[in-house]
Amino acid sequence: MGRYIGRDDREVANSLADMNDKELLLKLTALAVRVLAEFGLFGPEAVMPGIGFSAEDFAVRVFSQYLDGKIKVKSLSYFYKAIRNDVIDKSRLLAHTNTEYMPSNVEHDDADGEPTENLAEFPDKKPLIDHTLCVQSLSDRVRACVANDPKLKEYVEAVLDLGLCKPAEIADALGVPVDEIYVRIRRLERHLIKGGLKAVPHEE
Amino acid sequence: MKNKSQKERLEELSNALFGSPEDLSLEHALETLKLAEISPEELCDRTYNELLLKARAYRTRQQEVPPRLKKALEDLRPATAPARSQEELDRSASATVSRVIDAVRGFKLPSSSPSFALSTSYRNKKSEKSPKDQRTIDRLEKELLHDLGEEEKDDQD
Repeated sequence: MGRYIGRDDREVANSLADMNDKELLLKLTALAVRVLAEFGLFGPEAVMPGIGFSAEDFAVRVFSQYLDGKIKVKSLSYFYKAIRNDVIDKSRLLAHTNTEYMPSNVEHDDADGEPTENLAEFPDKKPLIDHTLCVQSLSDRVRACVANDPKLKEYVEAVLDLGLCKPAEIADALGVPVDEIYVRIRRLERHLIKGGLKAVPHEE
Repeated sequence: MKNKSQKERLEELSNALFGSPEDLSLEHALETLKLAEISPEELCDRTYNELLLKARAYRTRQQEVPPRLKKALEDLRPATAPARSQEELDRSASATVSRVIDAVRGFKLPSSSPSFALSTSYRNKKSEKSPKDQRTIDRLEKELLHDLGEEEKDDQD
């Protein structure tokens, strides 16, 4: 975590410094939940690959380090980015470890003494995030999720196909009030957190 | 995800689909936590207890508790936590009485109700009441009478 967050150590966290810490903790945890869900890690048992922290544990640790002054950030966006990058990097590290790390329980069973992994006793064999396909995977899962919901589909197409990203721009393009876009954003996030963006039946 | 641009692309995509973290309201965050079956109260209580230990460790090492940590302990302090000093106890009692008075002020008496006076029988009791308590009671009584007088005037107008 510190690797990313620590980059701008000299910067003062103005907006965060003014925020009530209870609010900051709750928002950080909500963002950690969202990040994990983006990678398909959702539900009460979801943990970060490799280190086994839940979104809650992870957010508390980050918050604690922030309070100690060990990490200094300027915005929630920066926290969000750092959490996501940490998930990606931990996953990559774990993938690397799984192929190259020689744990103490390796067996030497051939003439050259080359190690062979004892997979059954390997520390962490949870499914890894496919970090080479994150963007594509997220796009595909979002599309599948909204296929039966015309309003969400329209919104997702505006983002993925037209490349629009600001709610006001999307509202203009779709000819709907911007509040309606925020409603759709919330609804899409509910699908993400609750079901990891599995395709859902049309709710309206 | 080998280069920075892919990470940036993922960030942009996420912000566009689910909203920017800067737009995250407290209400929105609470809803997300509820969906994830995380209790905000338990989260805050647990964090508060961890921070208390951390602050204690600083004091044990005879180091100053970082200002940010102090502020967080204040912000996360549960309402049910015992008062740490007489001053805090007085402040909390005063705030409680003020809330009761505010609630009473919310009620509108019918204009036909008889005029009334506050009983002084409790006010003048000497036991278990500090001079500070007496001052608080006097101040609140004065405010209440003033407000009632104003309301009476309004009703007459």
